[in-house]
Amino acid sequence: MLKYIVSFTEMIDILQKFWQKQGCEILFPYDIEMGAGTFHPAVIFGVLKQNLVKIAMLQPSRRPQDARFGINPNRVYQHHQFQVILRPIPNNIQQIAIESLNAIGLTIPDKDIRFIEDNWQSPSLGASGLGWEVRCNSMEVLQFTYFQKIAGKPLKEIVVELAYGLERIALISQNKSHVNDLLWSSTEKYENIRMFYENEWSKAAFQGYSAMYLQKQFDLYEFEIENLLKKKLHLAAYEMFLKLSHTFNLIESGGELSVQQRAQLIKRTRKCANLCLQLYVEGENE
Amino acid sequence: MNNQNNLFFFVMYEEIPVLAQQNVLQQVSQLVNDWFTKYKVEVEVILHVSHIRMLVELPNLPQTLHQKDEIIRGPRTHVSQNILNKFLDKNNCDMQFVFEKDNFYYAVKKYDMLNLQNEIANLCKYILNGLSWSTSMRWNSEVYWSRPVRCIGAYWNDQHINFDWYDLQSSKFMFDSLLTRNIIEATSANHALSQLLNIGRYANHEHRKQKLQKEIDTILLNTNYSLHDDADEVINEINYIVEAPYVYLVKMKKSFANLPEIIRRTVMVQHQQYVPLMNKKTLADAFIAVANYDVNKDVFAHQSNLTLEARFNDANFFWTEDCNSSLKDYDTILQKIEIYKNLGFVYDQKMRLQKLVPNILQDIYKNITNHDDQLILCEKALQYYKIDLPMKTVYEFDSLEGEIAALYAEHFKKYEIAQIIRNYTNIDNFELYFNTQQFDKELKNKICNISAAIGIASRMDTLVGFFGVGQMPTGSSDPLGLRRLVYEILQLLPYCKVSLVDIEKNIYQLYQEQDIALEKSSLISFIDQCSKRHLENLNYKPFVITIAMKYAIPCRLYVSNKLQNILFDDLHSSFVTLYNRLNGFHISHSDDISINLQSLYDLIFQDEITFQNLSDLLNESFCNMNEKMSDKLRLQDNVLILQKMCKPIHNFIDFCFIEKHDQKHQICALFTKLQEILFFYVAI
Repeated sequence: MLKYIVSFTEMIDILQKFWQKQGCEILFPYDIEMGAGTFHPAVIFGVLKQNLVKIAMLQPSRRPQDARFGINPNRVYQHHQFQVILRPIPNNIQQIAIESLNAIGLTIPDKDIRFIEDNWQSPSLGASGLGWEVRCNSMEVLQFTYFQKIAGKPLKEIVVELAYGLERIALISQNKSHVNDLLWSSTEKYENIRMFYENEWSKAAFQGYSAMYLQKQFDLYEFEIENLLKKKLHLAAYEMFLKLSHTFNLIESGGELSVQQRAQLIKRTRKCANLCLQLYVEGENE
Repeated sequence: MNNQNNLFFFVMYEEIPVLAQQNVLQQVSQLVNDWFTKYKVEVEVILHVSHIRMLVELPNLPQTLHQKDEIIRGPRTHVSQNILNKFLDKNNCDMQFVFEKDNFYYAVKKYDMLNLQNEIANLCKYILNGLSWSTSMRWNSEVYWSRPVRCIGAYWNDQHINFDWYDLQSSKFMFDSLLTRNIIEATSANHALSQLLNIGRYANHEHRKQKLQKEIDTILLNTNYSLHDDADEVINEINYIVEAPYVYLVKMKKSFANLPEIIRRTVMVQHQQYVPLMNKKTLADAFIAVANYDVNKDVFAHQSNLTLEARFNDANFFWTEDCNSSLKDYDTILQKIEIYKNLGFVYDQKMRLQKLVPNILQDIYKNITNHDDQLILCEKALQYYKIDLPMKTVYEFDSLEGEIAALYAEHFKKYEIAQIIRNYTNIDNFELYFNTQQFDKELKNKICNISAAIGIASRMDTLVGFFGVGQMPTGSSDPLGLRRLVYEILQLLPYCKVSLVDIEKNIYQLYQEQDIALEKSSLISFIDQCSKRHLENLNYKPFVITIAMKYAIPCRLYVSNKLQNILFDDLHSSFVTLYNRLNGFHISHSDDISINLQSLYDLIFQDEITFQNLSDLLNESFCNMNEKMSDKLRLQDNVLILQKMCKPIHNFIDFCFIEKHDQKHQICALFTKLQEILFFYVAI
């Protein structure tokens, strides 16, 4: 008997239902470019809140540096992350995470699921935590982080963050060799749905954008963030920060940054994030 | 009977990171012995650790513990009874054990005999609280853990000990793993080890390593493959991240043979923890992957292959793009990459080096009339300077920074340039190359001279620049790694007959051409401090360093500059000149002191050097020198001086032969150090 293959979209559905059962509120993806689901405002501001947080959501994530014109088996300009944030942290969270992987076809002991020490950090958010990259048969499929610091400051109560790399999970669960071969749904392949964008974005990331224009855009976003923060509009400022962060990623993919220039831009990006988040925290405390 | 008691204590973590596993035995032993110190009991600690569990066994413990009486000084004797009572209450002492001495009350504090069994819970908690982790986080108001603890338990002589630790209660059993949670009931460490072994789990680090090694050896035995030199490192790493190792041979479907071998090995070892295999002298189309369960072999092999293929594909994507870019393309990008704010662009630095390095080479070759080919090679090598910065492969493989530029040169069959790049970017490479005998001597000298000249000049340029824009390191902070740069210059100097002062002067001038005004006294002082530290790191005795600094500082790095004179072909004359100069003598012929340098070199290069023949040679040389010096100078204390010179050299030989294990390395280290010491004793 042929084994039923769970498609990419069905997998998202299974994850949403799994986490819904765990008491999570399922949110929608945010409609601004971002490099990872962590940047979703609900995640960032949820982490900063001082009460219960239980949310999960799909978030398309754009990483210009990962653009490969659709030729790499598992790396693409825009992949999909499924993000889960929990506080308080259940005592058996590691087990729950494994159960969630089992639910989408990554089962122990059929598959070698391994927790490899990888303490996550995001320099631009000034965020860090202890955790692992979770590998299934050697491929990284999930980032598991005990989130402990944001905007450079320790959190009063830690949060657990799970970030599933959906394309890679699907590669394993569907046992495919290339992301293009994945079943997007029961009728369509990933390639047909996504590759048109991948090609164009890859060209743009490596050769398309004008470095000068991006640099100016970066400066403008930075200016706008300060302007909005003066008016205490932290969420609007944070949206500008997301754009600034994506602009930085585009500048970086152009490959014309020295180590020092990169460090300077990251410092400026982090400063903007810190300002937005600190204003929010001050508001919360009031 | 009293010392036949056994404590078994176990902890399961979500994960114990590698570094923590490496340190945990020392930490637990320290904690246990600290706890027992007041009872004057020494305890043996047996510990087994894997990435998820720690099994601690304390055998042969006493049944009871007794803390020695303690004498506590109390208040002065003239105080009221009330105050004395308060003192006794506070210290839990009895009035019958109070005595007076020198106008003070003293109380003898008596301790009850303790039943150790009743203290086990406290001991276990003491260990758990005391473990400190290099990377940790606060899990509650008091405890820092590396990762959450999920299961604890203890047995005293097979009897379970009940205790709580924060939200955990001691358990009677542990699990096979925290994910599968099959119960393992064991009352001692050996019992636990054997039960775990029955289900293929190796909680003991050494047993696990043996199992890994045995399975790998079996694979090698049944194939034509062998292990690469760096296999040990990755096997060790794997041993820290699995408990139930299952070793699989995986054949690659696609080999990516066009990718340089070092890139492929880096992917396997650093990114994936796969063990690369060699087929004769090249990387095989197969590797070893280790799973942590008895998984479906075919699926595991297929997906490991897929993961590696994706990684190789990625590397190939960047590498192909890098190779398709020309030196001119890289120059265009280097013109836009800033070194640092106000310091101009990397391309400017490249231009400065193109003026500066040939001057250094002119100094090196001042006695050789025709060295045009060296200058041409140098100019070509400098065209590759810093091209790795804009190369895309470096983004994925930052550990290969520098090496990537060499690989690029090799890709275009510029092998000499590749070696020069390897040498000036990585001093260890340089020294390895310098000390290898298999190359043509003339070519090797040429490559070494150019490498050292570029290496020193580029580092000096960076130093001058950063000091020029006020980015000097402070006592505690050196974010730009400038100290490391100075140490590297000091390492390179002996290989290059140049004056650092001249290089510096030239760089100042080149910066001034760009209207960058620089102030240099702080840099001079910084280099001096680093020189001192460098000598300390080389284990010179303090008085030698004091003298070195006294003589060396005014002309900075004088020692190293002189040292390189000694190191190369002028040992005789340098030795004599220095000796004479410092002693006010006026003899200048090297024949006057005959340390038979040629014999020494011959021994070294023929690999025939031994402690005995080196020692004999030196003795003979010094006797010879002594005779000649006495004869010519009639200096009464000459013999004493020479004896003084011999002693530390012999001491050093002893030291060196004990410290170093690798024969070649040993000899080179010995030889280098010997010459340094010779110099210092001459300088004294």
